[in-house]
Amino acid sequence: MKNSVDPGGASSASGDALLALEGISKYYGDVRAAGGIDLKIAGGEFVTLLGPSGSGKTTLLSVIAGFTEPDEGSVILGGRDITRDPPHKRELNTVFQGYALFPHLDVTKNVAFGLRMKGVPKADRASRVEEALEMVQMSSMADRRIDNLSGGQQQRVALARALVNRPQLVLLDEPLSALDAKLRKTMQLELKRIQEESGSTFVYVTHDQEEALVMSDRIFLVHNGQIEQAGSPDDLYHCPANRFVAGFIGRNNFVPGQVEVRDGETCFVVAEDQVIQIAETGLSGSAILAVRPERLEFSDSRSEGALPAEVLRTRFLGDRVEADLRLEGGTVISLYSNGTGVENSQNVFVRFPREHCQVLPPE
Amino acid sequence: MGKTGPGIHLLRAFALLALVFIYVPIGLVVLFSFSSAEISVWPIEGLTLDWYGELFQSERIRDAFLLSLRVAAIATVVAGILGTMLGYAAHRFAFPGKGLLQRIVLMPLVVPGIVTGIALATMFDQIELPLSPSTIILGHITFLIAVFFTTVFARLQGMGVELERSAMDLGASELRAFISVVLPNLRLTLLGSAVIAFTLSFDEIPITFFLTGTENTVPMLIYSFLRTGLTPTVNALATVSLVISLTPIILAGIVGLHIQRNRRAA
Repeated sequence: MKNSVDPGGASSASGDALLALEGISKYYGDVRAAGGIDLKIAGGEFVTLLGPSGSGKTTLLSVIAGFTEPDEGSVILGGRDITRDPPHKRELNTVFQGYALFPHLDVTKNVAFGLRMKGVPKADRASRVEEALEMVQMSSMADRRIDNLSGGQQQRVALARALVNRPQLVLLDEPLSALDAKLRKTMQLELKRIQEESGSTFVYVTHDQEEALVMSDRIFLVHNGQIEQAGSPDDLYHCPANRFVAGFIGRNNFVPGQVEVRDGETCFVVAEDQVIQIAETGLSGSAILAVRPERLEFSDSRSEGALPAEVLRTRFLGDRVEADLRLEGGTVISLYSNGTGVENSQNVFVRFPREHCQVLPPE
Repeated sequence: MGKTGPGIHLLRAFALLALVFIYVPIGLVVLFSFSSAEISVWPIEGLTLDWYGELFQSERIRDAFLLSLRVAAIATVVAGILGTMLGYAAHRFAFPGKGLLQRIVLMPLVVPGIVTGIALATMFDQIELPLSPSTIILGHITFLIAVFFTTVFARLQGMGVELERSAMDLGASELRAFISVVLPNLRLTLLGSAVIAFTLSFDEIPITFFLTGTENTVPMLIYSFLRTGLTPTVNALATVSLVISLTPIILAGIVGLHIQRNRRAA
C-alpha cells in the first residue's frame, strides 16, 4: 500500500477501494472546509487525516460518517454510493473525540448498544461484547458505570463499542487528545495493535504529526480544505511535496535561493559565493532548500557545500544541543549537534549534506 | 470554616434571623391549625384535629383540592412535553426565528401574572371559550413551558451533540436516538422541572384569578375566605397545601440522592 508523492492519493489504492471520496466540497459561508477532495482507502489500512486545526480534516470525517452533507461530491463505501444515507444506515462506526459514551448505561450495555440497534439476538450479543471487551482489555470492567472509568479506560470502551459491530470502517476523531502524554504514547501502540488484530480499516484524524507518523500506513496531509500530500510516513518525512508538508512534518530549515547547473553539477545558489551541491532535481530557477536540523553539521573549513554562519544562541536539550545560526543572507536555521562546544557570536561553517538536501518549489 | 471573628458571628446571626423571618410564620400557621381556640392567639390552650375534620367534610374544599391537583398534574405533563420538544428543537435545529423564540419563551415567567391573566381572559372571551378548569390549565401551561424549555435546553447544550450522534452512528434512527439516549439523560432535569412546575401551578393565583369559571382552586378558595372571615379551618387548609407542595420536592430530593448514590456505589 505504499505510494510515492501523489496529491489526493487517487491511484494508491489499486482496484476496488473500500472507501472513496470523489470531489468532496464543503463550504461554510466563505470558508472552504473541503475543496474538491479525492481520496481512496483500501481495506485493512490505517490511514491518518493529518492537518492543523481548521484544515478541514474533521469536516471530511463528518462527511464520511454522515453528519455533514457535502455541497458537492460523493462518498463511496464498499462500492456503494452512501452520500445521501443517514448516519445510522452507514456500515461504519466512529470513536468520538469526547468518547460520547452513554452515561446512563454501564460498560457492557454501552458496548452492546450498536448490536441492540441492529437487532442482533441476545445470546450473540453477550459473546460479541465479551470478545470486544477482551480485545481492548476491559473484560474486568464490564459492569462498571461510565463515570467510574478513567480517561484511558473510557477510550478503550469507546473503541470496543465501535469494533463490536464489526464495521467495514472505523473513524477516529482525535481520540487521544484528552489523555496525558504518557498514556497517549501507550494508546498509540494499542490502537495500532487493535487495528491489526481486528483487521478493520481505520481512518484516524489528528493534528499531532508524531501520532500520525507512529501509527499510520498512509497519511493524508490536509491543509486549507485540500490534500497537500498523501503517502507513507516515510514519504512525507523524506520527500515532502512542498514547503507546507516539509514544515508540518517534523522540524525543518528553509533557505531560499536558485537552482542552477554549474560545470555539469546541479547546484543550489544561496548567494554568488555560497553554493551547495545537490542531487538532480526537476526544478530550476527560484526554489527553497529544506534541510532538517539533525542533518546539518558543523564544518571546520569552507569545504564543499558549507556555508558561513554566526551562532546566535544554543540550547541544551539533554540528548543534544540545538544551535540557532544566522547565514550571511540573514536566514536563521537550527542545527542539532551532540554538544561539541560552540559559543554565541562565534563564526562557524555549516555543511549541508547533499543527500539530505530537499529542493522545493518556491511559494 | 477556618476563619472566625466578629464578622462570622454577625453573619451567622443575620442568616439565622432571615431563616426565622421566613419559617416562623409558616410554623405558626401549622401550629394554629391544631389549636382548639376559635381565633389564632398565643399561647395555644388546647390541641384539636377538629379543623382538619371540618376540612375533609367540606365538599367545597375537597373539590378545590381535587381541582388544584388535576390542574397542576395536567398542566405539568402538557407543559413538560411541549417545553421538552421546544428545547430539543432549539438545541438541534437552526430555523428562522430561533433567537426570537428563545427570548419570548421566557416572557410568561417575566410578565406579571395579572397581565397574562387579563390577556388570556380577553382572548378566551373573544374566541368564546367559556372559563372552566381547561382555561386555567391553558393559562398555567403558558408559563410552565418556559420552566421546561429553559432547563431542558440548558441540559441539552451541556450534553452536546456527540451523545446523540454516537447513538445514530451505532445504528439508531433519530427518533430511537432521542428515546434511548437523549431522554434517559434528561431524566433528572425533567424530574426537577416537573417538581417546580407542579408547585408553581398548585400555588398560582394571579393568572388563575382571571381564568376561573365556577370551580375554585385551593389558593383561590383560601383567598375567597378573606371575604367571609378567616376561620382556623384556613390554617388547616394552608397546612395541607404546604404538605402537598413540599411532597414532590422531598420525593425528588430522595430520588435524586438515590440515583447519585447508585452511581457512586456502582
